[in-house]
Amino acid sequence: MSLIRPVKHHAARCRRPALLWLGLVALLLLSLLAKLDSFRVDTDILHLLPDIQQKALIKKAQQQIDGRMQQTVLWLVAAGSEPKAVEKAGVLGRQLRDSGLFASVDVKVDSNDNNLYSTLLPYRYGFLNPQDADLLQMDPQAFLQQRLQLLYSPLGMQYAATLQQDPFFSLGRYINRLYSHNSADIYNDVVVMRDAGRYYALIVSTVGEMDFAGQKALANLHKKLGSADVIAAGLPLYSAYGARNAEQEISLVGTVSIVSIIVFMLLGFRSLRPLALSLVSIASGVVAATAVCSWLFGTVHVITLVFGSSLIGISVDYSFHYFCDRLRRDSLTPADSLKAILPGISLGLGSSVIAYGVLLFTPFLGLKQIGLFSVTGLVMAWLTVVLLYPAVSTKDTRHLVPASALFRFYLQRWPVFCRRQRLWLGLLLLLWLVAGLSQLAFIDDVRAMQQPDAALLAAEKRIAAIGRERPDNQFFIVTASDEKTLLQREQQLLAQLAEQKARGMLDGWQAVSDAYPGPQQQQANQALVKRQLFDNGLLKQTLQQQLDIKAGAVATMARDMEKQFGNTLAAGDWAKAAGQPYSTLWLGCEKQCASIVRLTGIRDQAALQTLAGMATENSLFVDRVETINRILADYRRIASAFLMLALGLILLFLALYLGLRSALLIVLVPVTALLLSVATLSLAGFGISMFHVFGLLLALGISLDYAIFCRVGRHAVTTAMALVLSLVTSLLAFGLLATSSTAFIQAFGLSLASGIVFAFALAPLIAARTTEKEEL
Amino acid sequence: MRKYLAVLLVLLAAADSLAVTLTEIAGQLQQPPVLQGSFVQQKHIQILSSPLESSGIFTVVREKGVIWQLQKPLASKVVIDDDGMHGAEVGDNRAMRYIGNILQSILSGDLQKLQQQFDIEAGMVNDQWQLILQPQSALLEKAITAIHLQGDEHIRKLQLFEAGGDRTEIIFHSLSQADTIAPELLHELDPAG
Repeated sequence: MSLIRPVKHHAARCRRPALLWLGLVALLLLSLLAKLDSFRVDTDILHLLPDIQQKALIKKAQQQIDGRMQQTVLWLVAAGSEPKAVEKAGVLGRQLRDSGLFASVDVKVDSNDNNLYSTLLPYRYGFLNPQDADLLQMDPQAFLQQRLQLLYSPLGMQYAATLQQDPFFSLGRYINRLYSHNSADIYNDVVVMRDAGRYYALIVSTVGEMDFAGQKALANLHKKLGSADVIAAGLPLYSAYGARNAEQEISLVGTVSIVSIIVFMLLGFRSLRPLALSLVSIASGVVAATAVCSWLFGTVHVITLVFGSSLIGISVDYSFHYFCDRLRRDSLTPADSLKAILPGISLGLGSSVIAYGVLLFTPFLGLKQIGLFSVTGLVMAWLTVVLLYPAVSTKDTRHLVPASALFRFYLQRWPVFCRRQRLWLGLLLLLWLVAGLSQLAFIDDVRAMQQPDAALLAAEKRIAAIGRERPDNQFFIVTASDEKTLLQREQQLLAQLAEQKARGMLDGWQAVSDAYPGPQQQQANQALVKRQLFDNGLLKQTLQQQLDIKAGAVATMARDMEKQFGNTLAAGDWAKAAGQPYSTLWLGCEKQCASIVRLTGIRDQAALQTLAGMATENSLFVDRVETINRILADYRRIASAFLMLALGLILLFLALYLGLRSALLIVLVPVTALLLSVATLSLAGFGISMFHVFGLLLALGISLDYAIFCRVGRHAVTTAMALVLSLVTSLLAFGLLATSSTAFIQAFGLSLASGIVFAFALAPLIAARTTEKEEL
Repeated sequence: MRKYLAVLLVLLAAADSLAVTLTEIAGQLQQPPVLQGSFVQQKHIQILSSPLESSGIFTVVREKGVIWQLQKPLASKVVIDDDGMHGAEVGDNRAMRYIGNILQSILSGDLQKLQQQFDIEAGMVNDQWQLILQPQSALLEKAITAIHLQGDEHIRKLQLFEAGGDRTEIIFHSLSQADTIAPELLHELDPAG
């Protein structure tokens, strides 16, 4: 009787916290389910970058340039002849449409797209090709004879039709020249390009907002349809493949992680209950973290999920400690075990919360997400152990620690060995650190980190080679207080660019003023036409004598001419009607007027420097790659700085509970481990990037747990068992990350795995001496 | 159901008779390695009181291209090949290449190529075959509503109806065929070869 009562009492005491836990989990689960429909995973590393620190104008320019490109996938279908290519394109177009993944699939060009001609018609005498204007100025007679020749040529019909409206065909020729850079032909309304004897029909498709499932479906569709004869390119494909690969890798890591936990828990505890409870702890941690992240951020970035799946590695450590302690001979009730490990796991949680909590104060969205995800996940895992475990774990265990000799070696013989050999080991450590850190190099190049699928990249290059030139990622933004000055400034810049082009620094550029004559120029052209053709009667004479034009037709032309004389078309309206690329280049006038000059074929880095050097107050040079790289470097630096800050705060936190000496010793473990990890990566030839630092951040949390438990754990063998379980399961998971084909996930895995191995080796060295004498 | 079946049968019959006639025409139409001749072109342009008349000579070299030489009222020369049109102030753009290719197919009697881009109706007019070509392309239809071709073993007459209401008529005469071509002419078509 007297034996049962305290147990009953104990069960009642445990029930309330367990119910509290249950309620909390139910609440989180419901909120996650409510958000499930809109749940999206983001894979573009550029989305991790902050919005701030960019001029509004540059942002607008980039948005305008990116606008459609972000959503466009181009498909080229190759065949031996034009009709075959067009036919195949029709089939592919139907397949694409049937997939339901695209907002639009355009195989045929829009035949109603005749906007430019009708827009320019009321201003036609202001738009002359430079060579037409020159000839008109020098020899109006020759100018007219050339036009007659056009009329008689086999293609004269194109001009004859417009004889009344555009008697000199100057507008037609102006528009032809505008589009002459376009090397594509149109066959049966389909754009067909020819390259090396083969014909490529073009399909332009756009995707809408895509969720994770849509991205995967797009990658699968591309994989299915793509072949040597069907090539595709576009940003949506990159993110689709990114999502697909990331998902595969994350689920692989997650699975291996879980499976290894299952295997090792079964080996270690020979019971299903600890295993089931650990899985509950992991799951509730992930649920809580995902729910809170999607509340606060809407989307969850893939790097957060990678981090999150790795979080399993830490959160399960609390369970390991609990169940290992249950094996202890003198731990009678679950409450005893909880009491024994509570200081350790609480200090561990506290320092981890500090480590990841500081990330919330960084200006970077990605770091904030990771911080929040980790803090929530860990707190939830801790709550599960503290609230739920005592209520549901059995009170009797076999009190048998498997392979205890190994654990004893780890916590007792290994420190003794190290202390005996401290001179040599210390020297080796120092040498390793010096050698490694002297090789330390940083990589902040987005091109090195976001390695796109090689096949996709090749397809994009191929499409660029077959089609027209593709502008580089560098451009100028020209600004002025009014449109007139803006065009003048643009002209000045173009003159400078022409010099650089002559020196071979770049292939060319796209600019509005290249094709758009300003209001003054338009009026000058009108005056030229009026003077050289109408006022002197030359037009009337030629048309009547040589073409036998109907009476009154010339008078109508003259009236038209007078009517529009002096009217000019504004640059904005022109750019809108002219379409791509000009509509993208014109930023318009709000506070100030601005336009973009895009550069193509910049020769090399030196040419880039020269061009950047041409920037002035009124013509900004924007190098997007450089901008992104700078932000990545900032990211890395800030993450590193916050790592230091976290260490400082953790030191304070630990000192408060354990005293300065213990706190210093504990912090020394992760510091040394992280330095060793960086040194080792450097020796292996890796440059340290933002993602390595992310990995180190996670390693910090795990290393701290190791160190804290070695220092405060009162029961050597069970602590050692928990640590070994933690190391083995973490390594299995992160070791896999290190083999990832996605460069940034690999970096993350490498630094993390090496960090925790070093921490595992170092942690026993700071154990309090008393533990050595403990007997089982 | 029966109504549809009847329509279908009529369609099939029509397609059948068309195919036969087209095949017949294709059989009749000769595609010599080299075809030379003269042309007279009349352009009926709405705002002109009388049609614009011009004349000259042309050479078609099979699978190479066409040399189109205007002699009256002014002299000019245009070369049409797979890459488009070259020579006299014609500019160089998509429309030119497109129309140039069609013209080349017409002059060299390549009905197969034309069938890929036009709906073709065949018939007989005054002992000569006649083909009425209607563009399948919506873009092309904005410029050309129809092309009428007439001929026997060679093409004799071409009429081009434009969307704006203008019309071009070309009569071909003094046609002669040859197996070879003067090297200097070949050089114009194929400067590299």
